Amino acid sequence: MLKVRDLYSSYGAIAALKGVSFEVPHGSVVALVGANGAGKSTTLNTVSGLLRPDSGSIRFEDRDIAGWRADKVAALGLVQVPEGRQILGGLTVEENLLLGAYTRKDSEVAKDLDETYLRFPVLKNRRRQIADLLSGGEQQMLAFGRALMSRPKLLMLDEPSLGLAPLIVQEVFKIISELKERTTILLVEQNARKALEIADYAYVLEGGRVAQEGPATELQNDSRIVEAYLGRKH
Amino acid sequence: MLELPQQLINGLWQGAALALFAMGYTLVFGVLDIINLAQGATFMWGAFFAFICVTKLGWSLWFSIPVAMVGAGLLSILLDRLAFKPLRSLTSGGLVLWGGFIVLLVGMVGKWAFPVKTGITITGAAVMLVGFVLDYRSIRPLRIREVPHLAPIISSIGATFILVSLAINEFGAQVSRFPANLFPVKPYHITADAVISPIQTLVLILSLALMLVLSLLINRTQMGRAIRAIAWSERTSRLLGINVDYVIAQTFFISGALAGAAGVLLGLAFNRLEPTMGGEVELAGLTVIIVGGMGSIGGAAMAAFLVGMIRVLSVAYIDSSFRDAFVFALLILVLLIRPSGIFGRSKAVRA
Ligand SMILES: Nc1ncnc2c1ncn2[C@@H]1O[C@H](COP(=O)(O)OP(=O)(O)O)[C@@H](O)[C@H]1O
Ligand SMILES: [Mg+2]
Repeated sequence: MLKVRDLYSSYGAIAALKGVSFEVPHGSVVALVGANGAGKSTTLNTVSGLLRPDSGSIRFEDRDIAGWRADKVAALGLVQVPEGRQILGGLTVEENLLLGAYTRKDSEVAKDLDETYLRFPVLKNRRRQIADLLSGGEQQMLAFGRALMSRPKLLMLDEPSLGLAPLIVQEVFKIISELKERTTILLVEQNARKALEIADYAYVLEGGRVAQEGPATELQNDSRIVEAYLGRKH
Repeated sequence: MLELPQQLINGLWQGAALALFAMGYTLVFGVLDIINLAQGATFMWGAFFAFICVTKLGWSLWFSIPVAMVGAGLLSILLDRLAFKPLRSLTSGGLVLWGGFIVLLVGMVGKWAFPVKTGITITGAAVMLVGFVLDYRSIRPLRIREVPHLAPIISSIGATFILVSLAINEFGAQVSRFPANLFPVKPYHITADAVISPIQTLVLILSLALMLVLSLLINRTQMGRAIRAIAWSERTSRLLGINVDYVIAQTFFISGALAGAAGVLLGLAFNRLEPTMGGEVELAGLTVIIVGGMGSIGGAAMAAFLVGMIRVLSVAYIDSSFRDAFVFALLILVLLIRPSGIFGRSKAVRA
């Protein structure tokens, strides 16, 4: 469904991606793991069109979207939930959700809004509140809900568990495993252990390159990965 | 000297028209963090657009007002593309647009032979149109920059000069007036000695109606939400699929149309149109958006009535030469005591 080949991307003179290739097949969950600064967010932002790649191809369904404008990429159904959630704090919870449906032209937005409230009851209770007033966990629910309102074909989640309390992290991964049934997912995580539990296939990024890849269950048992990213089991 | 109820009525309708001007002003600030000082020139051109429609084309006033609003809205988009957008992000289409604009200006000034002048003007306009399309369709700008705060101010002062001299060229520096019989003059009595003329009633009603429409547009429609989303975070807006350039153009259109409406209405009410008429409303408008809290639409609406009252009351009870002095005093007072404004939260484009 998404096929990235030899992607190079940079910030001015600083090269951040040095030939990244990966694939996300339809219906799967693919994890992108790696240390801080490995280039995970840069990869998502380049695919999303916030950054223009220096070279390489990004095929989504049957189009090469490398260098497309971000709003056009989102309109294709390739939707990113960015790092740090990036909710629109000055707008209400409901307005955030409605803007999630910005690219849609069908008449079922109201129905999806009801469904979103059913799935995330906290959002329903606070629908008229300014989104800035939500807690970190609630903001993550809002970010999920907003992305789902667009009826995405492929969801790219950038560190959805970052900065959340352990109990909320559990909840976030539970939601991701539910989302699995509805849409294809590209999951970026520093919490590699959790990511590998949920993913079908995974890529390990290191210094802007893919250092390793394989089915998630294999990587979970790979001694090098365990040492570098998973730490010892408690 | 007139009685207080009469002054309050005058303050009310003048404040309402000022509110239209100021709401558009503050809307652009809320979204882009720039003060569009050419808003006063857009106001003036709005009045003259209606003037052209009524006197040269012989259209009815009811048709001319919306046409003038659309004209002022388009002028405002053009201003953005020429004076502000290149500062944010320069595209190759933007360069073509600039080139066309310069050709157009060359065609419009001076006293050359008529066909040559027309030819150059039309060529310039055509090149501008091509530039517009290229600019709109461009996927990537040549460069994106952090806009220094002073640059848009200088840009818009420059644009003001151009727009005012174009108007002087076209209409002369003297006062132009609408035909006297355009509107009935018999005033309505509110109380025994407080009256409001039909044209003033029109200003008040139309202004309030437009304020309501703007409030619904900003708060209840997807377009309004997108405008506020961009004011909050441009990057997040892009990820949501919002075409930021397009929505910014919509914002400038709304802002310009409101300024144009204010221009027509005040031009009609005083029946005085001059190329420099934007300067005075500019100061009042700037005071209003600062007092109202920069970027707050509801705050601007309320502050406009306050400033309108102050202007009217200082003329009636003190001296007309003090009018701007009191407005200025209010501005300084607010800046000293509460720079975030009396009425609104700052930023966050709220109604
Ligand atoms: N805005 C930026 N400007 C300059 N360098 C950046 C910027 N964002 C990220 N980088 C650099 O690019 C590299 C990859 O960063 P990033 O993609 O954010 O990593 P990750 O998401 O894996 O933590 C890092 O070396 C980082 O310092
Ligand atoms: Mg990151």
